[in-house]
Amino acid sequence: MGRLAIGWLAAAGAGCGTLGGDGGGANELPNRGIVPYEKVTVGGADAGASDVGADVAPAPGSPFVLQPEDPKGQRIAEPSAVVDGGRVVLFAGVRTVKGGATVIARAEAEDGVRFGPLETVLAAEGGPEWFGGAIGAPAVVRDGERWLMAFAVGDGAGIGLATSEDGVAFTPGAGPVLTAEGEDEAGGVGSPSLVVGPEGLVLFYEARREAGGPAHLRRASSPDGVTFTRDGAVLEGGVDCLDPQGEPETCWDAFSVETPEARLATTATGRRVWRLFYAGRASAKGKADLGFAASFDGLVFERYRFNPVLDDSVDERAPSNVLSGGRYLLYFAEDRSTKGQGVGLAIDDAGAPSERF
Amino acid sequence: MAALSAGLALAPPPAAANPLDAFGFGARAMGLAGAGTALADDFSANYYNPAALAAIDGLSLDLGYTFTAPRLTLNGADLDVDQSRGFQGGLVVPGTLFGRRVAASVGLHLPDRLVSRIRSLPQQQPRFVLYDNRPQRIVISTSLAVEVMKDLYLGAGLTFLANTRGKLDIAGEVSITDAERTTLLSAVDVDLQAVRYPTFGALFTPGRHWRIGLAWREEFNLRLDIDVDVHGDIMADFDPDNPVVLLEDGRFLLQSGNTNLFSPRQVALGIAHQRDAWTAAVDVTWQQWSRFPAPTATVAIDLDLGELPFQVPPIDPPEAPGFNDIVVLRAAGEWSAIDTPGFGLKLRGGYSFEPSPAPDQPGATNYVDGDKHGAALGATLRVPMAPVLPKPLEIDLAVQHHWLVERAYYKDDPADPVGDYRAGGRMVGASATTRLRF
Repeated sequence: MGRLAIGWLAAAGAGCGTLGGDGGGANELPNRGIVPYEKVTVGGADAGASDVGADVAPAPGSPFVLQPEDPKGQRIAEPSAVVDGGRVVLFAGVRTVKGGATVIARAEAEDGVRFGPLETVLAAEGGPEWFGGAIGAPAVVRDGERWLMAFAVGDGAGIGLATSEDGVAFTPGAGPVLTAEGEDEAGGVGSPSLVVGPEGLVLFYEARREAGGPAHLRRASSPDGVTFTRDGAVLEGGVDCLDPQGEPETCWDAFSVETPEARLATTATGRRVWRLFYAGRASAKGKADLGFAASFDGLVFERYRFNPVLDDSVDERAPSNVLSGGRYLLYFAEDRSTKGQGVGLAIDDAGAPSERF
Repeated sequence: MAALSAGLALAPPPAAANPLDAFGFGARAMGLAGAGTALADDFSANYYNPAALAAIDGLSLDLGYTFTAPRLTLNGADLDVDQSRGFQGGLVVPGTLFGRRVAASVGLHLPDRLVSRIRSLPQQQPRFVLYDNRPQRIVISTSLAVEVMKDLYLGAGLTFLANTRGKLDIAGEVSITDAERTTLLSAVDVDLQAVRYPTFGALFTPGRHWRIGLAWREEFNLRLDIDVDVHGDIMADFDPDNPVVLLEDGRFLLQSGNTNLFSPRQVALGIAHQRDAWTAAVDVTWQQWSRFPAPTATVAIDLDLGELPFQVPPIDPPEAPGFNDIVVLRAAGEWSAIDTPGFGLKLRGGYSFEPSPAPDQPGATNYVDGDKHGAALGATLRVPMAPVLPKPLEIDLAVQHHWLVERAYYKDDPADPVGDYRAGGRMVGASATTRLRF
């Protein structure tokens, strides 16, 4: 059996860092899981061996915890993590570079790091007509014994919903639950994030006012899980940012906010708070970084004041955040020109987790 | 030839401060839950009421040890707040002067681990603000007391502390291309500036049954100031014969001030009633926490690098903590179970309630505290030691338990870095003191 060594590459910030030397009084400080995240690097000689039987093997030194079986011929994007019985189940869209065939697949990891093989749970090929020939960007949640999956269809045409009893075989609904409409969605909708709330299902998604243009984040809700009503925009590109000298500067997410992932959490005082990780870009050609925002009502979100929370020299998109084993795990899609593309992982295990979701 | 000089402050910890507000002074006072303003009858009067020293009969020498172990939690997780422990004791020397009772005394709390601590954490880092630095310090106080008229005693005490300010000056030549051509000289300049912290007391003992005490303890606030002053030229020796001066008369000045060793101004009123073998006492203490300064370093930076494109971002001053004045209540009872010329046994117990001076923390600061209930039990055993000692040996023992009522903190900003949390806990302490009377 192999062993996978973990190397820490980078800290994601220190807004809640601990200072003060050797004196007591600073152990187990509350940690919301916003910062600091440190990226995981696969470093072992036999990296990729897995307790669940891996034939998906990121190369030693790989920045990815999950890559498609054919890294050169396929792209994996927009992961969605679910903690199920202590395991982390990671869903992601996989697209064949040539031919454009798309599937949604899942992989499991007992420790959240060493993932087994990808298994297809839903494919565009052979699917209903409303798939529009393409599916992706899954957002999977547990609703009691049932698994729910929202996913993008038709390259921006809409968002569909599928259900499953076992998290492996998903049955899509009769049609999309949301299709792009109106000026705010004229450029398409996608990247859904699904939340099972006390008043029903809540769907967060990105929308573009023009094709290829900047995205903003919107929300729709459904008491019955069938009919969704739009609640409007919840986050637009950042404005009114100041540099350290107090002078106006371009916000890190001024151009576009994308790929939301919302979680409904409970604070240590029992209060409900909506957590939102998302990707942002400062300009049309700028790289994407990850930021955090939160809301008490799920409608008006406040940005974390030390954003971005994950900022590297490469593109990071599509965050998915779970709490597992006393650590916050942040999965994201990452593009590296030299090492390819895949799903990366950053871990925040500072202090004691203070929010549950 | 380039030259550079630098100033850097050295900052040894300050000499003294006061943990006695938190856990008490002496085993008897601990057993009374701190209700000592009217009842102090040993070295602890240096803190509780210096006037009571003049009412003590005979010279006495006390030496003991005290220990308090906190378990203070955020969201149920122990923050591992440091213990407070150390030797306590004192000497009381009574006498008469012009027919009036007088007394001089010295009291000491000598921690065996940390003589003092100044730790200035970022304001957003949660900390139990009253138990972070406050219990970790030495206390040395001296007092004088006099009977000004029958049954009326006045006393005053002083505790000497020290603010710290110092500099390490560095001067020399710096070459960024040839380290061997860099030379530096240094000098140290440290000042310990005296701070006097007075205590005044009055004790009125009408009849045999009543004791009424009043004490006033002045606030104090120790400072630790750190300065860094670097100025001079920087050169590049690409050609040793023609060095290039990259920066002439550049300067970096950092001034840092810490004001987190704070004890509030206090006025304490105590009333005790003694009847047969029983004594009951009540203490009410007002504490002026509204003057508590931000326990976070203030930093000012001035950078002048000429044409070089470097700037230092401005540093926001810490927010005012906005603490509130409080009134602390203490009640205690004591029973003389055995009272013979040789052996004696007194049992005592007390209760205290200290509301938290710390307000809710909805913003950037996280100064954590909670209402505190305290319960204490204690005993004094008196045993004859003749002929080794002229008077019996007294041994005071006490245990106390403080509960910090769990408190929920809610943040206004849903994206606050720390978020909501719950804070509470307990502190368990014990103390033992032996007393020799002469």
